Amino acid sequence: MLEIKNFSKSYGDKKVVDNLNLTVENGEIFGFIGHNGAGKTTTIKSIVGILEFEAGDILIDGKSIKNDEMACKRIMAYIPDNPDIYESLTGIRYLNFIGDIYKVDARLRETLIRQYADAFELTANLGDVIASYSHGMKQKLMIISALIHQPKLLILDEPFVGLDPKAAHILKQLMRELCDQGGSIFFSTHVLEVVEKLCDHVAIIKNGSIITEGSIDQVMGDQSLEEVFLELTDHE
Amino acid sequence: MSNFINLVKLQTRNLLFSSIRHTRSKGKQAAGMGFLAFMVVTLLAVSSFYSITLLNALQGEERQLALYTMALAAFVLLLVFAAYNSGNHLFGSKDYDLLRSMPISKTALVASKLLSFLSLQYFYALFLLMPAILLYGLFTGQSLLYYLGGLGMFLVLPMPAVVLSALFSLVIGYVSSHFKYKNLVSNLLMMIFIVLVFFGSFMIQTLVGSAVDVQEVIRNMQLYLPFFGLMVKGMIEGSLMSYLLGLLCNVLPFVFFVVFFARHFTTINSRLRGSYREKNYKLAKIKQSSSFKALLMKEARRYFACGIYVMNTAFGPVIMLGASVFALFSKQSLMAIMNELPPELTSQISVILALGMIFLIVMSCTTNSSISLEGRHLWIIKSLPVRTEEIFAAKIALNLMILIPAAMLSVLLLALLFSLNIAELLLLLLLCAVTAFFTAGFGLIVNLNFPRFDWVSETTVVKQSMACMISIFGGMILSGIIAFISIQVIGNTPVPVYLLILNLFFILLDVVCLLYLKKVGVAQFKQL
Repeated sequence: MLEIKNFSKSYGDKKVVDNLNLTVENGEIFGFIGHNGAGKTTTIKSIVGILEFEAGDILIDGKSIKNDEMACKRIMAYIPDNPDIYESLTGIRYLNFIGDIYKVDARLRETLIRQYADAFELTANLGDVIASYSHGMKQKLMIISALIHQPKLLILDEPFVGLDPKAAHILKQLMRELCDQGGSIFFSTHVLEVVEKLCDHVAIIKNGSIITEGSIDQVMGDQSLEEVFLELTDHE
Repeated sequence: MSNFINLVKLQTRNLLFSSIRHTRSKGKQAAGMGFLAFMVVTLLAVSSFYSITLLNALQGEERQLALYTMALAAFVLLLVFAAYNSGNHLFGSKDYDLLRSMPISKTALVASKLLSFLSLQYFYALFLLMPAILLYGLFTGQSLLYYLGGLGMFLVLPMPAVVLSALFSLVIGYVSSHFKYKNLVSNLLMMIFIVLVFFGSFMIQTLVGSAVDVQEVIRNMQLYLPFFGLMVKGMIEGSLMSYLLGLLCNVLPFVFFVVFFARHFTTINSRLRGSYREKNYKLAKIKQSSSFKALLMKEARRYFACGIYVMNTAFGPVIMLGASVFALFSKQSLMAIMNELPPELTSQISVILALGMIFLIVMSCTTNSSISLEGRHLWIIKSLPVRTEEIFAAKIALNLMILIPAAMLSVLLLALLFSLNIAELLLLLLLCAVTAFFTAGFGLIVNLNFPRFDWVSETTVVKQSMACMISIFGGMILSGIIAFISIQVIGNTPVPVYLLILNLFFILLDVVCLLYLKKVGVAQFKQL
């Protein structure tokens, strides 16, 4: 579903991601972890077409984000690390805006909005302007907006920040459901326990390069993920 | 104390120099500085020109009226400028939470906010008031005391403007915080305030103008507008008592306001920010629309949610409509004036109307800040499956929606009033459309070249950004050049032919803008 081939990205003279390669298969949850400034968000923003990059390619369902941007974007959804969304819109207008852009049928849209908004206990707030939402509510709204167009690939950058325990639990359930139905998820997080319990595959990035990658069992061996992470990232 | 000084420096820098520090490119920074310097010189020249015209028109003691008039104009404009900014800077500032959480005293915080805000008003007063004070002194050979008095007036005249605008912003903020669409309510109230200010100044001029001679006009100014009336009297006549009374009229309300504001700063901000409404939304039937319509509606909602954006860009359509309706209702007196004018001028009325429409349209650009206003939300449109051209089209379409209906209605009303023939009418309608398209396209190009995403207040983007200034002043210069050329050729070319040439010129500019956006703009947007 997602294939990153020899991907490199620089800001001016500074190379922030160097020759990164990884693959996310259908039905797989892929955890992407690394210290602050390692290149996680840069990689994610390049996958979803926000950033341009100079070397390598990123394929979504076999199509290049460089050459067939629209086709790639239509089948994926992105949830950034900060819930910066149009504050002058009401929640329902934002969801409708996303629904219109992804051409989601009105009846299906209504069903999905009701389903996810009820799950995240946000239905009663959908008529309010987003400016009045708390950080967690904005985060929930972004998750709902990502799910209502039924993406095949879900890209999440630190998705659990700001969510209450119940919402985090629901999100984990939904992530698993999406993958059980054949979708794929690629997400970054600092919560290593979530990666341990939820992910099928994991990659650790340090200073722009992958230092280890594999199935969660392969990477962890008989240690905890925290121990592996600290050992690998502390090692110079 | 050092905290206070640091705060004042930081906030003043943020307010005054926000337009040029957004780019890392040294070339663009230099271009920005150059353009800013050009603007400063131009504004000083325009202000000086008005003062000199007034001083030349009046003789002897009547020349005093020039200084009173310029001081009144400065006061009214300072009030309007302060009203534009006070809401964002004093009450609704986004750094409020951060600053209140820091170990900074409330008094230091409030004083820093007010001082930095005053510094912005001094920047405006430098253009609006200072040339008039200096030129009056030079024309009438005043002593050093006059200039010292003038400096004092320059320092205190922005104070009542700050107090009045802040009080109105406070009321507006308080009232609008009780509504769901508080930005919309806030915009409406702010527009009412601005209209009231101009209406008030018009009433004052009428009141003052009803006097039988210049001396009575001056006495009326001193009586009804002591903020500057008494200070100007003190400066010109050397009356210390009048000067001090005027000074107190400016300073005392400001001091009271500072004390009040400092005491209630937290309460005011808490009330304006926090409100609770029952959450009872029920999901209703949903309507589906195209992605272009969705983008356009998003642009429209963004536009009407930002008061400063609306007020900065809607005055063109408002003025053209207002003037057309007013002209229609004052048909008889207008026709009487027209009959007095030389026939070679009245026969060219379509060209004069065209020049007016061009000027008002190029001044009403929404696209010059529409990319920058995406701010932290830019990721949304960049990650959505929509083509960049569609994003541009939605931004341009909003500008056209704001301009074209008002412009066309105005042209129809004016065509009716001046009995224009069908060819002139059609050419004027087309001219409005092609000029509006150029305005939107050019604004977008300028914003793509001078984007600004690190803003804290929308005012920074809409009023003070480099893109906004280049687009507006560029439009003004273009309409000035067109007016100049028109004056040269107006008698030698048949009116329909000249209107056709104007249309072709703007169509050419439209094509250039379109090609630029397609060939270069799309790539520039992807780089953002």
